[in-house]
Amino acid sequence: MHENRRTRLALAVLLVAAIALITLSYRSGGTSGANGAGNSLFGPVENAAGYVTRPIEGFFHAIGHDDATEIANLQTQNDQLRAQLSRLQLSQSDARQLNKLLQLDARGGYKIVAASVIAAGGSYSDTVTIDAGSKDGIQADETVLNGNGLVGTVTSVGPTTSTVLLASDASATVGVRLAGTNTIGAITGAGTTMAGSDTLRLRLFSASATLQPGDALVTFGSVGGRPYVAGVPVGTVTSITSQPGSLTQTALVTPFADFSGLGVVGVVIAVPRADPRDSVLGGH
Amino acid sequence: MRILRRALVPPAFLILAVLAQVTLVNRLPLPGDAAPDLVLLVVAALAVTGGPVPGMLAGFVGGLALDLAPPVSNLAGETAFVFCAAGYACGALALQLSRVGPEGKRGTPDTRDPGLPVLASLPVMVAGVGLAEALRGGLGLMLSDPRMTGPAIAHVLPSAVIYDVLFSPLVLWLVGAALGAAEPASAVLGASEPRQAPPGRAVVRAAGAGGAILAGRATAVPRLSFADTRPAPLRAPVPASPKLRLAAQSSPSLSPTDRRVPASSHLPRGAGWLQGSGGGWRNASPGPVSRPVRVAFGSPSRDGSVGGSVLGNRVLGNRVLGNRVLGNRVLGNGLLDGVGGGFSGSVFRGSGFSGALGPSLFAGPGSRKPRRDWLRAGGRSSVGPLTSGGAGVRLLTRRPHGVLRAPGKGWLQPDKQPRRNSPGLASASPREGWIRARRAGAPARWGKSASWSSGSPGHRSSPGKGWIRPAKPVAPARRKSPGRGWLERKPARIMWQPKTPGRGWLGRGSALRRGSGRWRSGSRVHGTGAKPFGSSRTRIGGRR
Repeated sequence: MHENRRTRLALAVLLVAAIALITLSYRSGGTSGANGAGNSLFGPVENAAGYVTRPIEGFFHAIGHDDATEIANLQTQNDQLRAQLSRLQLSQSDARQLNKLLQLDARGGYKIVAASVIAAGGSYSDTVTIDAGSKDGIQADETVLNGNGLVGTVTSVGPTTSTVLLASDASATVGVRLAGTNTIGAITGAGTTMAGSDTLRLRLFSASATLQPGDALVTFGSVGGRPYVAGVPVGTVTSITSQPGSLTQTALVTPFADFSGLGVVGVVIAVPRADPRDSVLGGH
Repeated sequence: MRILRRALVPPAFLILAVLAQVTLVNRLPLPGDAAPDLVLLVVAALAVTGGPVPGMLAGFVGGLALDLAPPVSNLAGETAFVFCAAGYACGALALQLSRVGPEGKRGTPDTRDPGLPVLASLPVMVAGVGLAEALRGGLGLMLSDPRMTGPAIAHVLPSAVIYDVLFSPLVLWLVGAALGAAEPASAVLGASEPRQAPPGRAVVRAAGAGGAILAGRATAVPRLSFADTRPAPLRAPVPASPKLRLAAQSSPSLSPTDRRVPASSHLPRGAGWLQGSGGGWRNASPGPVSRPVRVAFGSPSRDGSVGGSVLGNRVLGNRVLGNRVLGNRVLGNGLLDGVGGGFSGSVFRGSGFSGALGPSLFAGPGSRKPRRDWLRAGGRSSVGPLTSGGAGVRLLTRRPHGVLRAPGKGWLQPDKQPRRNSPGLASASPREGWIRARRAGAPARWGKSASWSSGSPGHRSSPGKGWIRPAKPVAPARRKSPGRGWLERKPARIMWQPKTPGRGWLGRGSALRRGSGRWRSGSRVHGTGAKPFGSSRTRIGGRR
């Protein structure tokens, strides 16, 4: 009895402490000092552990994946994107003309810090940790992308690690624009609710816009490029889910990036001086 | 070493689990949009093997680590809350299931059995893990986490639980193996770490190759020796006055197996009652009594936790009869059997060896896990302390009518002064697996009989050279050895309890009688008194 009481008292103390923690972090909006502490505390460890687990994880991915995209270039990704950008701009005359019209000064492009994914969140959340942090010039709310398209945005930054909220997370919402048009909408991650994390939900803000499967989406861009810079390819519309007569059009979108097999990603640390519009999308 | 291991293994496991979870498991492209939660599994395994307190501590710490490890998306403290509750639930459930007898109603780890058998641990673990996953979903729902909506939980929860169930045997095995193979559960618990100081002067020594239980310089008559009356920190207070019973007072807890015991004339001489209570054990009827040696381990509250309490962790030498040793090996040939031939072939009959005799979940390399009731017969139906766990270990000669072999020289000769720092006692331990339960549930036998033998029947491996030598001294107490004269108890007290109440102890009225007729001799009343004592007897000085 005596012992039981003490045990229960300890249990109550621990539970109350946990609830206090929850309350604190809830009041501070989820990202509080606890996150920073966790980043500083676990970041280096995870960095080290990442070296061990990355080959293992890569092995598992190699089983079912074409590794060609995975091998992609920690060092050359930046160049690749730039080359892609310029190639697209150069190869398509109409795009060049469009650029001339709409993109008065699009030559800035993105400035990217490349990083590797070293850890991932739990079952319910689509978050990853990358091995670059404030020491690499990364700040919160910067856009993360890879060679295929939009990945997500940085939510918290540690000295050597950062946490990225993937666009597929249920709590992530990205403003998008239908490529080639000015129709804008928002995509929301489907989370783990349905069809896995390979599907995003699109909702167009205009009820009269025409939406067809196969339409490509790019990010619309946020003010100041945070949390999302403009012009990053997002995905293609696969199916229209809106009912006739609904106020907004909804659709399912297949993202360009493979959120379950992220390897090398880039963090945009400098916003292009002008919206690249659809030029980045050309490859898709 | 064991303490070190016990202190280091859980944190190490938690850290490893957190790292493996976030860096590897979460990234694996597993079907079902879920992944096994290694941290939760480790917490559950620690709880199942350790009890509620280690469980909830591990849960809180592990959950907090998971809450802080970078790719975190939920609120800090959520996982800590869930895992803490799950750890407590797992530990409490395991404890509940492993309680022994009507006496084991306490939620202290010490009342545990050798540990739940794996077959019972796994369901407990699975239940706790499922509960935790559901609780996590519910908490996320309550906190209106945008990710954890009803459909999302419905989608993830089943596959997550399935993954957890699939991985739980592996984790349980790993944790158990790391925590120390074949340690009794009570030893696994930090809480039940026996704090008793070894009876510095040896108490029991058995002569012969096995050397064994009784020894010491002590007195001509082995008397009571209390390993300690001080309760271990996380255990319910041990009664300050262990109870003594004479062999003559055969308790009702004698199991049917005892009836088959040959007449007392067949029993080795010098046998007496060895009864431990709350961390003490003693030889109550010394001398050439032709009675079965009865080693009754455990007070009612600590039914036969031989490892931790009865013989103390380091009672004889350095942990010779410690948890592991007794739990796994000591009770083998050498200890009670090879006593100069006197005990050779003695039958170890437990009428209720309901204590932590057995190894815990994992009986160590090469040894099988005895079932819960190994060495225990009738422990549940027993009444009373000695009787409560009914813990009775009987040493009987195996030959029913043969000539009684006198015990070897020096067996139960307390007059010898033990030398200190004997290397043999301090370091030698029985060989791995030289005693192991072969068949659970059966009356324990030593020697060639089927139940207990090291390897093939007919072959007994004797303990390593020099371990528990009769003439060897007992290693000095490593910590807090009892003061001089702690062994000096008047024989008369053996009859009842070592601590005779003072004058007028019954006349003092309320102070001495509290609860429902519970008498105590100490200064505190243990327990609430809500539960009557052992069914048929009034226990004095006992503790529930």
